[in-house]
Amino acid sequence: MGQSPWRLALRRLRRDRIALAFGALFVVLALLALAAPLWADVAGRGPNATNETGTIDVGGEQVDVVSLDGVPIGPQWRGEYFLGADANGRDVMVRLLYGARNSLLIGIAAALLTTLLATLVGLLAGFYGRWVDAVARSALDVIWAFPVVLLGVALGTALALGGLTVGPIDLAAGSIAISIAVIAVVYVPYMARPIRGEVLALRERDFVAAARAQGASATRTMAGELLPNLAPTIVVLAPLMVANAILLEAALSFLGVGVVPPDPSWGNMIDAGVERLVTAPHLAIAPGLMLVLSVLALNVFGDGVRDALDRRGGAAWEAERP
Amino acid sequence: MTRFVAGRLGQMVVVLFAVSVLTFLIFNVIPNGDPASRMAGKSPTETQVEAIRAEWGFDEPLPVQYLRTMEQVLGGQAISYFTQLNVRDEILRGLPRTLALAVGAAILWMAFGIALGLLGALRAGRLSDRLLTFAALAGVSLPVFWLGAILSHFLGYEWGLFPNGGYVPFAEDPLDWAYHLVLPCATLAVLFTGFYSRLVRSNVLDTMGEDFVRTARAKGLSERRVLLAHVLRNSLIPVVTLWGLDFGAVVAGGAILTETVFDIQGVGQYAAESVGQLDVPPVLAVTLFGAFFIVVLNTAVDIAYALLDPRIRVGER
Amino acid sequence: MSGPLLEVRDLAVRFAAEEGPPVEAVRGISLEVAPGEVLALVGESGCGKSVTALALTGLLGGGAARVAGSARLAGRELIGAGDDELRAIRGAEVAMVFQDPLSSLNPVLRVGDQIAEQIRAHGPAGREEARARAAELLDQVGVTPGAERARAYPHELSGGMRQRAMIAMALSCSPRLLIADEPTTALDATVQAQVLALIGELRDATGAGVLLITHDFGVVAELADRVAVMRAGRIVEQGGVEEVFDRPADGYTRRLLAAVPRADAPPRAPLEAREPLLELEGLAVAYGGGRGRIARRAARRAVDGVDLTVAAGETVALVGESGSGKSSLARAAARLIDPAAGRVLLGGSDFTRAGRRALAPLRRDLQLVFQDPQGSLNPRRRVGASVALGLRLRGAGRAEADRRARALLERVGLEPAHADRWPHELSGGQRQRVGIARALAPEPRLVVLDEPLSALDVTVRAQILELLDDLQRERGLAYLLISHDLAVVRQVAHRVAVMRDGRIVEQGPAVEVLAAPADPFTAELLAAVPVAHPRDRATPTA
Repeated sequence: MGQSPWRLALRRLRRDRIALAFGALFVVLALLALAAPLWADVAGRGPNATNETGTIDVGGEQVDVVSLDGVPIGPQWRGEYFLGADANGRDVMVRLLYGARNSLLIGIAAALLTTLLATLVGLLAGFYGRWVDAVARSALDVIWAFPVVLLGVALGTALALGGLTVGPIDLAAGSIAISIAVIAVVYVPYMARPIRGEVLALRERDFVAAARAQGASATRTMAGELLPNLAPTIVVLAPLMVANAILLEAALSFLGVGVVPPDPSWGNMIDAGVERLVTAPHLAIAPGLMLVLSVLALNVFGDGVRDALDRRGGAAWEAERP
Repeated sequence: MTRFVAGRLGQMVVVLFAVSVLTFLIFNVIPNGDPASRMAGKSPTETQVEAIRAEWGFDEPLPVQYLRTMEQVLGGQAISYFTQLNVRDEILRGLPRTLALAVGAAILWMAFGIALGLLGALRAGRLSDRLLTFAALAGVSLPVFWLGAILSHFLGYEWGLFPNGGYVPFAEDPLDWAYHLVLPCATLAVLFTGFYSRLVRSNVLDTMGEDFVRTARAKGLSERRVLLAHVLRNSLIPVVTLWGLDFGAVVAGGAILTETVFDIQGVGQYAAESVGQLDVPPVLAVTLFGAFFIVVLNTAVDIAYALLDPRIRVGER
Repeated sequence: MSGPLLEVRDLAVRFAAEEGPPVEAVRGISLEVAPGEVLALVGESGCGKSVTALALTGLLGGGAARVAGSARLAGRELIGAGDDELRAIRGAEVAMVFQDPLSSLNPVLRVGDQIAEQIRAHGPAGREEARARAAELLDQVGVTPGAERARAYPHELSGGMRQRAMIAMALSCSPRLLIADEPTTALDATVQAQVLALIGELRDATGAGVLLITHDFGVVAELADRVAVMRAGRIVEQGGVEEVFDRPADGYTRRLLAAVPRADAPPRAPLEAREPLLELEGLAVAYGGGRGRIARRAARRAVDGVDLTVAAGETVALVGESGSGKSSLARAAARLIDPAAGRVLLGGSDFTRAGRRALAPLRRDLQLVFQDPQGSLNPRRRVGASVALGLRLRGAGRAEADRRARALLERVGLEPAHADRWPHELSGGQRQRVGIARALAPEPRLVVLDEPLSALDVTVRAQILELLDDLQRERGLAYLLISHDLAVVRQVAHRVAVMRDGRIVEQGPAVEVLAAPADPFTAELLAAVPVAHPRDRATPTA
């Protein structure tokens, strides 16, 4: 049995320790997000439970969770208020983990949706060409003309009050489905363009001509010949798309058109924390670090995947050239 | 060449139209609910909503609504129903500030992007290259609003090295103007520098593998000349194009986060503050003007690109 | 003669591999080039001949290559020389010409400036002086008018003009040694003949030594004084050109020479009249067209009204240079592109206008084999699955299709177990065999062979030709062979059609067209075929 191109890529990826380490880091962060309810049990309060007047025991002394002049308590490094409290006396660690759920869920779901849409658009436009391509390309160009954050903000603002109805699906205002849809649409051109370009190049390859000469239908040619060869591009782009989507979600929440408070997301936690950097720096630093770590993990891992699949993967087939 | 320019300008008009239609759809058609009450802001009175409905033509057919909306925004009549200020005046007031930020950042990220990218390519595979790659990935992973807030807090507030946000007009005090811009420009440039250095590195490496670079070496040219006249020139052409586009995006509202964090009071911050109030007319106007600006700039860049790269000119002829 | 100009002793090059032991590309070769002499270094792909050329000039670059041994240019050691010393030698004393002139010239610099740049790198010439000299040089190599052409960008010149410009550049500092690495491989036959003649003339005029690297014994026969045959990093035989052609001492050399199709062999006789299987009637193919009026006007006709028939069991060769439209014709005949006008009849039924239902049985009758065996196989599909696709599409079950695919692979000279391999694990020749097996799977009556040999090494070519011949006899296949190589055509074609600028300028039985061409273009093509033996040269070596 021969070695499939995928297996070759996997072998190269396995040698890239740094990429693997950061991939594992992202998995750990995702597992932490999943374990949020467990930590809430440990901490003894949910993500939105306020405690503006309570006190806790610090080294035998009872201390206000939120002091009289509104300064929340800092990290305690134990179950309760592990990372301190916010201005409403909520447990920052619990909110951080629940925020991770929102941030990662929106990021991953949006990136999956983007990948799906972009692959479909890129594949159909590239394969059929002519008017299909012309229509798809102008649609992508128009979306492309808007700066990412601005388009996200525009859609977010427009949908913030009434929500959106797409056919039978009703996306209520303020639900994370809105964020997912907005982010997914914004990034479609960024992924559909390279995929379309790839399809255009693949379409000219002789093995596609051979399949058609054998009588393969359009669907079969796309599914059997084009898609497997697009897969590396998609696999390379997907982690980067998740990273971008997480960043954009944070930006939208920061600006107030993402996850609606009191529900936590890293973006709205940073937004709230920035105002209190002087008295309670942990409020902005903790969610910021989580955001940076998860995005960095995806980017470094994605870079390793690209190295394993893309260049040298191509070189493997070219290796016979003198 | 004239034909290419004419064709490109024709395309531009079509895209401008499409962009305006999409903006109109985003704000007035796609969302559920009454567009007039959305325009009116958070807690409108019934009379206000009625007035807006008449002014923007929301009880008329869609094509008329579209025309009325464009008339409102492009004609400079639109006002924010929250602040009662004219939207176009506000945008024009913020524009010089945004431009100053964008120009400074663009110069920084291009200079550092080329320098670091080139360094990485020349040391490809070595430790220094890997560190640079990692630094670049870290750069693109830093959320600009968070980085800005942290830098502004520590370098500005805690250590007093830089002003803690704000903007001083050039005419008032050029030195202070520059001093206030250093940190915002640097923050905005971090993200782009990460991206550009990776782009330059990979382009330079690709170009170094080209046959014509081997030819240049076989001619006995100095390594310096090979690098400058053959490698860099070819690998920077796509980078320069992108530079133009990214600069446009930053001016057109892409700096919304940086401006907000550093309190620059530019176009982006105007949009950001309006977003916070769900104040639709300013967001609509910034979006539309921003996209228009980008489309026009794209066209200019395409034409410049054709001047730079002789292959395009012939291809289009 | 005062000793050799270039003297190479025990040159060895090894590359560090990504995994496993280092690759020994060159394993200790020795050769000499005298002033005014052309030494041809001949070998198949991967034998190390190009690596040798780059090693001599220190152009292997990177830390991956280790070069050992000695190479002296007029007594000066090149291997291990300092960067500055090598730089002064490159371009000034040793000049190089590469295979693909388009990629070898910087696309964004004017041709004249690229030549002037070299002149200025090696002498005190000023900008204007160097430019004037560049124009002169272009005139000298036939890129005229030089002053005007110097201002052109590479893509504005034809392939032959570009290679002449490369030669002008190489000559600009009057080098003592010219290294030409496959200088005509990317060129059409007629242009190849001109470029080879130019290199010969310049050698005579300047007295420079030439190290000519090639895979093509035709090029050797045309130009070389001496030959060194290289295989797997070693020189297996070295000697005077006539001696090597007449009395090859090494077994590998003999195999190489035997594999070269004889340009003077008698063509095949035509078959007696049969029912036509494939008929092209007024076929036209247009590119760049669209629906608009302006777009239609801008469309270029790649194929312009071609009539051609292929009978059952017959081989028809379609001959032409690059851009003549022969590949477009093949694709239109196979209905991979829609023709702008005309029609294709396959076994009497209209292939061009067949609806989806009528198309399936017709497709089965006509299959293709492509030029580039690497691009013609789906890299993400096992070889067996590629062959089985045609069977599966015709309703065979998975197991049945797999069994028959293995049998087909065996028929084309591979192992049944090759079905489990991936394309990247096969050699070029093996891949082309897979391509043939795939074409045979639907049991076609006609196979269109689109330059099926040109990406293969010469010994592999001979094997594939033999396989195609066997299959034709065994299955009564008809072939439409698209080729630029008249020697191959002479060997296999019953009938020949010559194509130029989208039209067929001449067609008829191979014995007539190849022996007594009626069209001047056919005559020109035939004249451009390199001689089969050095003694047949138009101008004998001095």
